Amino acid sequence: MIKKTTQFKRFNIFFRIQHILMFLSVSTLVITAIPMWCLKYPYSETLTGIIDFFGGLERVRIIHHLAGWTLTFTFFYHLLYVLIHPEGRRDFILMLPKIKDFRDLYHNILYFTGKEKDPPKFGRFSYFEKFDYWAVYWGCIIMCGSGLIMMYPEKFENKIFYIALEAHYHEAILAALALFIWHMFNVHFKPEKFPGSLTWLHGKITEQEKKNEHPLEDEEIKFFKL
Amino acid sequence: MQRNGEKMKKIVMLLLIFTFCLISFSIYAENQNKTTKKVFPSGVCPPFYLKDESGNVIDPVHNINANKPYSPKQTCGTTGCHDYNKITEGFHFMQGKGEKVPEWMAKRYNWVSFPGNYGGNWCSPAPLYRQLAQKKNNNPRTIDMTSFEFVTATCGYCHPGGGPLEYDREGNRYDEYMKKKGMKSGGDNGFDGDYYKARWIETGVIEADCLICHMPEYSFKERNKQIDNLNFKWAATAGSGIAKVEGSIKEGKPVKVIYDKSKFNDDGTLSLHIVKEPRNTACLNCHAKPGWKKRGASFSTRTDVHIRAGLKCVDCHPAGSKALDKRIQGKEVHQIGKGDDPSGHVRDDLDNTMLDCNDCHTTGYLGAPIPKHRGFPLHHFEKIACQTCHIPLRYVKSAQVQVSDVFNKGPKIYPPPKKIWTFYDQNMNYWNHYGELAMFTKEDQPTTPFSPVLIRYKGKIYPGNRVHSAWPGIWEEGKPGLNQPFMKDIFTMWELHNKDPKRYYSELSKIVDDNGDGVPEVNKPEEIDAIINSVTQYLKDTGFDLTNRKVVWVYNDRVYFSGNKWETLPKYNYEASPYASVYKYSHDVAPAKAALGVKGCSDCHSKNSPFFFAEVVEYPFGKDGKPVTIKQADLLGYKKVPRPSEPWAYWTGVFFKYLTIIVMAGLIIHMLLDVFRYYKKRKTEK
Repeated sequence: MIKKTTQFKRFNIFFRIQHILMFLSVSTLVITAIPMWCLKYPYSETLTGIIDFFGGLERVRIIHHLAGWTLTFTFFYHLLYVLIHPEGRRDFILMLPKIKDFRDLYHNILYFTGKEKDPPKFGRFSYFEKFDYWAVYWGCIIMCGSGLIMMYPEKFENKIFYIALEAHYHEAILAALALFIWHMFNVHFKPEKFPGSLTWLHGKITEQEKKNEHPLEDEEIKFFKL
Repeated sequence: MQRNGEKMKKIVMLLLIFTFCLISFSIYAENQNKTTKKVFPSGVCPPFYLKDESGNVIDPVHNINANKPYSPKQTCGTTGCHDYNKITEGFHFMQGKGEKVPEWMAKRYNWVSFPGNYGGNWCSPAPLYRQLAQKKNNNPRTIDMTSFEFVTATCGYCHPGGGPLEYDREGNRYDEYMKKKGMKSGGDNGFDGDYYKARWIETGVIEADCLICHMPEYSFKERNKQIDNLNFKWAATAGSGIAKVEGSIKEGKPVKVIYDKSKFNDDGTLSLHIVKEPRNTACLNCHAKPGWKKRGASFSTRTDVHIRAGLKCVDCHPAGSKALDKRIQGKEVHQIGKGDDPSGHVRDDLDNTMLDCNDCHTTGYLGAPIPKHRGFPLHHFEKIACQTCHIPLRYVKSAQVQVSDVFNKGPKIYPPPKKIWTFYDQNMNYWNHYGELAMFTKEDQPTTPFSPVLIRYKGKIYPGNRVHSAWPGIWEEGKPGLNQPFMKDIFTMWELHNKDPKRYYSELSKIVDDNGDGVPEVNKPEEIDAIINSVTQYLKDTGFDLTNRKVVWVYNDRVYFSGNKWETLPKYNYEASPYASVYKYSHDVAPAKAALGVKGCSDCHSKNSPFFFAEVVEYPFGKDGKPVTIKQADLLGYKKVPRPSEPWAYWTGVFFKYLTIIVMAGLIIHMLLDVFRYYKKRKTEK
């Protein structure tokens, strides 16, 4: 018999700080990106009105840049965490894609379509959590890199500036969509999860959650000496 | 005897050697003289003798030819130091003469014979203007302005001489050709467009007058007084101030020259104050007035940061050996560096030969500050001309609308035919430009600040004056463009009507003021019919041949055949009308601290900013007589987001777009399947 109240630590304080910094900075970036996105349509009175509503581009841009620097800081903080902290190193290795992830995806699709009775059994990180993680990696590199180029255009060739501008604009849309549709669904709006988990805050999951979502975790991490 | 013979031989030999040396030395000395004459090393004009038209020295000190006007061509050019022919090839002298009319221009303006002021489309911002007569004419009714009248119809006031003021369209010097062909002064002369009623034999021609630009003390007033008196060949002498000219060809009084001996050296030569680089006043003598009417230009320290910094016109508009552009570079080449005026088509091949903003502000040339433009995305500099942000405001109004279909009753409009032009300013208020010009002169231009209209020209956004027009035109069967009635015809028609409205062209009384500004405007079908019918009647009354022709009313890009029937004319996007000018603003640049963007992006990217959201005039008079406007952004052609012009950037965008579509499609399918399975499972469990 498993006690529902038994809880296991899933994320340590460092990881949680990183996550909080990231969602605060990214949320700010997304919100302040709205008036800047409106600049794509400078001839639209409605969209220019949104810029005015935000108090003008200068203010928004300052906040956007601050949030961008926070995201960059978080990215490097995470790199250091991965390099220095044993749990960071362990989780990074466990985050690396494996053949099993593709098998799990295939299995899950069969499960979704009713051709498999049970869902796949995941380890510490499921394939969709790994997708989230690597998407953020890719996103940080693209967004922080292109953002820096856009902040200091005089230091780069025009060609590089325009490539950065395009990449920043389009990747921002992809990142925002992925975050607000996919990630929010998986952690908040998924029927089994609704109205959401507080793991991001206290770092714990219940024994039941562990059994349902990460049944192979213990077996997977027993090789790591922490 | 033998000894004597040998002696004689020696003497003869010595004499031969001496003679040979003497001849060689003479040739050498001659060449030395020539070299000294052609190349004067100091770059400053040495004392020189005046010469008359035949190349004879004029020396008032010793009373030699002291009753003759001097000839600039002979004095400075042919028998002087300079290459007169090369100099007078400059477009300031030729003003389009001999230049081929571009095909697009020929298709629009049926009356045009050259692309410059001489034989061009118009000098004012829109039709109607005096038009140069064709060279060959069958009757005088087809002649509006001959080459002779080109001088007297105020064009000669600014034309520096040479080109069409000296030679006819076949390259003959007017006065000599008239004599040679036995033409009669003031006679019909075969209705030749260069000689009909011309008096070149008496007046002489106007040679290129070097001192107009190169002598700061030159008197335009004195020169133009001579032109008014038809004393053409005396104009340069009077303008230079070295002599007084009395008499008048026009009034039949013999013309006398009285040189001021005090201005001559003892040997009869002159040492005038001649400068290499003309002063700004020399340029502004001609460019200030039209600059005001067309561009609201002031060229003053109050309005222009460059003039405030002490720059000269020629710093940016260099010529000759000072020019940087190879097209105009060369000793004595007088093609002045010019920009690219959307409505100026003289020597279009020399467009952008002047120094532009980048030439100084990226290099620091002449101490120009090099701006950093921190925080400005780069595409601003690719899509927006410097002037757009650095001329955020004009202090002085210009003519945004010129209509030539009603009679302007404003005071002080001179010469009177200009009363067929009615101007409206940037706020669509009636503007008596010529009255203000006469009363206030350029020195006291009234201040009327306004934000310029923005136009997109050759891929960049510029501030400019997009002139609107309305005028009676002539449609000609089988021709793609339109013709225009003569300015004097429309003026006379209105003069007659004003004298006795019931007797003469009474329909014109239907044209009334609809917008309450006190000035009538043509805007309703019955008014359009009134102007078309009245002009048709006047032309018929005066024997103008209307076979295969129809009088029309042209309103911006519409040609009206009657009050209710019209067709649209093709035009460029930046034009309000194919029959009105578009002027870019480049002068009167504000200090950097007053530029757009200094107060932040909201200088443009705000609902309150005129940059995108100003209401600009599309048609000057709607049905109620009030202007029909469009949004500035629409005028600039902003309809969709422009694609990146840089290929790598374009393909980066394409890559990310498809990446987003593929990734999000996959994720959404995954989510839907997840939800689907969850509810199916719950249903099964129930």
